[in-house]
Amino acid sequence: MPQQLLEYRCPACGASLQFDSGSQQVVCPYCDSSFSPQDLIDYDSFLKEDAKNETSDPWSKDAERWEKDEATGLNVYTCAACGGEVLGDDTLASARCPFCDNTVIMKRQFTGEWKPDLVLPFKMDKKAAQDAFRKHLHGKKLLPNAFRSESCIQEIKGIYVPFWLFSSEVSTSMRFKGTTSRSWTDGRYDYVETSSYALLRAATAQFNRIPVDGSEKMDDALMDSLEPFDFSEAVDFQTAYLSGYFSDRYDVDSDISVARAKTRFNKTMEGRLAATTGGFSSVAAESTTVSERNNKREYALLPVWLLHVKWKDQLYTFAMNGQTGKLVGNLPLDKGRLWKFSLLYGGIFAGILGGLVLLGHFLGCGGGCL
Amino acid sequence: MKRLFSVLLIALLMVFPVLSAQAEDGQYVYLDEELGVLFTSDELNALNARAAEIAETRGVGVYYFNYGAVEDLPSYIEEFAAKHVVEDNALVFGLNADYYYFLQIGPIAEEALNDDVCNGPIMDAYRSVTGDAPRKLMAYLNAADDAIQAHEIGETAATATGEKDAESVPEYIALTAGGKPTLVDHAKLLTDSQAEALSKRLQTIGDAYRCDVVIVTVPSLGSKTSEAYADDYFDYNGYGYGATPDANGTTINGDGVLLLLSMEDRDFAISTSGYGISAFTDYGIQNYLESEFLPYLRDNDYNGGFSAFANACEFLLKTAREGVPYDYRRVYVDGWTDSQLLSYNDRAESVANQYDVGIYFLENLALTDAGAFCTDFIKNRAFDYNAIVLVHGANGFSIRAAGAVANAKFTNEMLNAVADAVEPYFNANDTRSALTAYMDKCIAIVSDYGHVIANGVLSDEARSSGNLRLKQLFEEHGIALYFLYDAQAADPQTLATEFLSGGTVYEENAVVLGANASGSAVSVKGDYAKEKFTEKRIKKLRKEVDAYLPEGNVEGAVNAFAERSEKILTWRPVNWLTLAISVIAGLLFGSVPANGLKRQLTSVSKQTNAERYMEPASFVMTQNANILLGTKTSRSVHVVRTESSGGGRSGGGGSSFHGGSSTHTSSSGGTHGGHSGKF
Repeated sequence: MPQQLLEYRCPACGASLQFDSGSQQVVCPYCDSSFSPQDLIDYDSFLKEDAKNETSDPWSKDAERWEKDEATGLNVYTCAACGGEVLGDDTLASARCPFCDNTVIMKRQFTGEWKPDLVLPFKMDKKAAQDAFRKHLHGKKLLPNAFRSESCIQEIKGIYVPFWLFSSEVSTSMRFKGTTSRSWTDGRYDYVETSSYALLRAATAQFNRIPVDGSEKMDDALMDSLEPFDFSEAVDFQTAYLSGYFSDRYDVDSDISVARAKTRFNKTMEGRLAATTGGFSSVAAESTTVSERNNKREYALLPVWLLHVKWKDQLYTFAMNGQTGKLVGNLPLDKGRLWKFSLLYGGIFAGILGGLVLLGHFLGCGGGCL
Repeated sequence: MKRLFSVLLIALLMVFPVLSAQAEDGQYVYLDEELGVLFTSDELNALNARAAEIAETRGVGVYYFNYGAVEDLPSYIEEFAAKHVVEDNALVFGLNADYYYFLQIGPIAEEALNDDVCNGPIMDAYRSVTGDAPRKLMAYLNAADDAIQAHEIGETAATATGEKDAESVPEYIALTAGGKPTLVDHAKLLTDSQAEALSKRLQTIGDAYRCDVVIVTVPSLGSKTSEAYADDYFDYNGYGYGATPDANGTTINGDGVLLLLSMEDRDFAISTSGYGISAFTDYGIQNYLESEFLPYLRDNDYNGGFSAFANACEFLLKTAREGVPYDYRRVYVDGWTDSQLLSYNDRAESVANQYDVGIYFLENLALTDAGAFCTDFIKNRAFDYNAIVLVHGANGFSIRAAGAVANAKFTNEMLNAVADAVEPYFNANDTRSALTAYMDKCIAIVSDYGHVIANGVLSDEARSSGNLRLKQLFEEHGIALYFLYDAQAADPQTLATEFLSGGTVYEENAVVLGANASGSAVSVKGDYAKEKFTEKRIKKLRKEVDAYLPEGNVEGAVNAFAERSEKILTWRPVNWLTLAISVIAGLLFGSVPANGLKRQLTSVSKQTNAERYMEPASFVMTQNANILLGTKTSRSVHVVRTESSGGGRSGGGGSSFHGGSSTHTSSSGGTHGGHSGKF
């Protein structure tokens, strides 16, 4: 089945439309028209009806043609607007055409098992991401100065990252071994009495939508660090939301991803249960049994701004939560500055301690009072 | 309760006469029921024991009965004697409601306790006690004992000196002023020539100081103690300068000292009487006299020992006659009682203990030359190493100090101050106030450190505050600091050097700063002081002191001296190791905030819990049970942690002299002092 690149065109002027995160509308960058995503979808289906009627258009046939390069695993897409070729991997679901900057959406990536349940629309735009990045650099004393001035944002792109959201009612029961001891003496002997207890603890809790990123390409830690997302703002998936953004489909199966979610809620449950075992002189967990009910998994696209920053021939990746604006990413360390600050603070402490020693000396305790 | 018991006992005795007859062994006192209630059994036992003791030591049973109901006393007393008396010699003193009667049995009793004695001293003693029946009886027993003893001595004396020895007193033995031999050598310890020389020496001393000095040696003491023997020998043989012996040859309260040696158990006793008691104080005997002659006796050098005894007696009599007996006392005022002197002596004692300086105050207006006495006293008799002595005699008073510490404190300036304090009171004949003023002033000076010597330039407050600082520095650092100021001194260096070498500075480490109106100089003594007061530091010290001198601010100079000295003494080299360790520690601490800054750069981390995805209030505990699996008790031997108990040092007792002489009364009624022991 041919890959269908989906592109929304402005009903007024025919230019490529983009989703505007500020107004949550799909807007036309040329004629300033704006449409709600639902309207656009209705309009689109109407157009499709038309297209079916005009199946003889050879250009549009061409546009749907795609070829797969078996050797590289790369797919070549043809931009519907200008015919330029867009290179993308298996998972690429939407992109921008490098020639005409039009959005291309590979519709096939969102069908069937790959159809997302939810999408969390972008609320932060590119400008906000740039500002957040600059702000992120602010106040970091050990950041190389050159990084601040010389680094350039190589690439900044809004990506809908595929996430698995796991919900489950978790029942955990644990057995701990606890001991108490008391000691006394009758003058001749010292007695130590040790009592051992089996501490049985069980609890149930409902976990909702633990996000686990389903994209191989995305660093798990980076994605984790973007939390939290507010899923109450999630909407049913519509490809219209993808306009103007890149998106991937998942390539990590939910059966694999769920392990990470389980680790997280198990740890939470264990922590909660262990917290109820106070009053013993020693407590050790002996066994844990977990059962889950009402498991639910949802496939969601979550908005992430990815910034690739180049400095000294190295790429630094930053990610911003497209919903909340939280920006994360490790910054390079200026080792010279680390030394400088270590010595500065060390000097201050050394000065204080040494001063105290000398003060003590002159106050007459001979330096032995420290 | 006891009384009730004795009533019962006597009632029992009455009811069972058989029992009473059995109790006769050891019973010397017999009472009827009426009198019996006045005695406790303890008192009765004591009386019987005393009588038994007399019977044992004197061989004479002394009995007493008081049966109010007896009609014919003289015939009953015979009956009593036949029934109860067991000794060969006995005295029975019987009474009924109206009369008393004495019965003597045996030759000793008939002679020693003849009717004159019984109706005389014994009845006197018996009558002298009124109201206390047990004591009355005890007086009777004692009087009888004394009378028998007196008879024995008289016999001994008669045997020893009177009848037999009176003729055998060798011609070469010199006699006392009262005509008694000064040396009685029954133990034959001396050769004739030695005896002659010694007796003459004793005679000379006795005559010169109007006090008999007698030496008696005997082979054994018989049943007596050495002390009693010596007392009795003195009294019953009529010794004592200026005493008139009575018809029996007994003297009481004559002036004299007697040394008795008994060879059997090597006992000795010194008995003093009359003036001898005050001249030979307890302290004088035990700390001077005995230490002079006993070592010779221990070596069996009797001639040497007796000569030493004679010399020591002469010295003690001389000092006493001069006005102040050789004594432990630091305060002696002729004519005051011991109790009057006690509190002053106690005060002087505590000062001596605290400051190591003895404060002496001696007054005897009979002293003709107070100055000479004072010089002699401080040289020979003041027993504190450091002493200040005031002697008040007929020609005024004299004050002297001796010993390095006392000399350092009692400079001429200070001695004049003491003299000024006491003079008005002496002029007003108020010895008590003079003594108080003297002690107050001396204590003030002694307790004052006295290391600031400014020849009167400084006020008392300035001097004492300066002293206080210098004293504290000495106590903390062991280096004595002296500040000498003499505006007239030509060269401060000479002033300091001479003071340092003048013997006044007794401390091992000392720094003397001499100053005149224009400048100062420093002399240092002792290794430690030299280590601290280096040339460079002295230079700085002098510079600071010199700033005050030209303007005449001696107080400022003293303060500068104290201040700079304190800095010099408290200066210590910096502990580089501690400093280095603290600097390194500081550098290590410095990495903590630096690491904090480093952490700012990292914002990526894997999430490990899902707390925020748990639905609020959905956490429900479904089980929460603690099940007891078992209890194990282990036992180990209890280890007691002993802590060393601090302190608890118990002070040993020591003999303490309160001055003067302790006295006792001898059998003849004479008062004696003295001391006895073994040699």
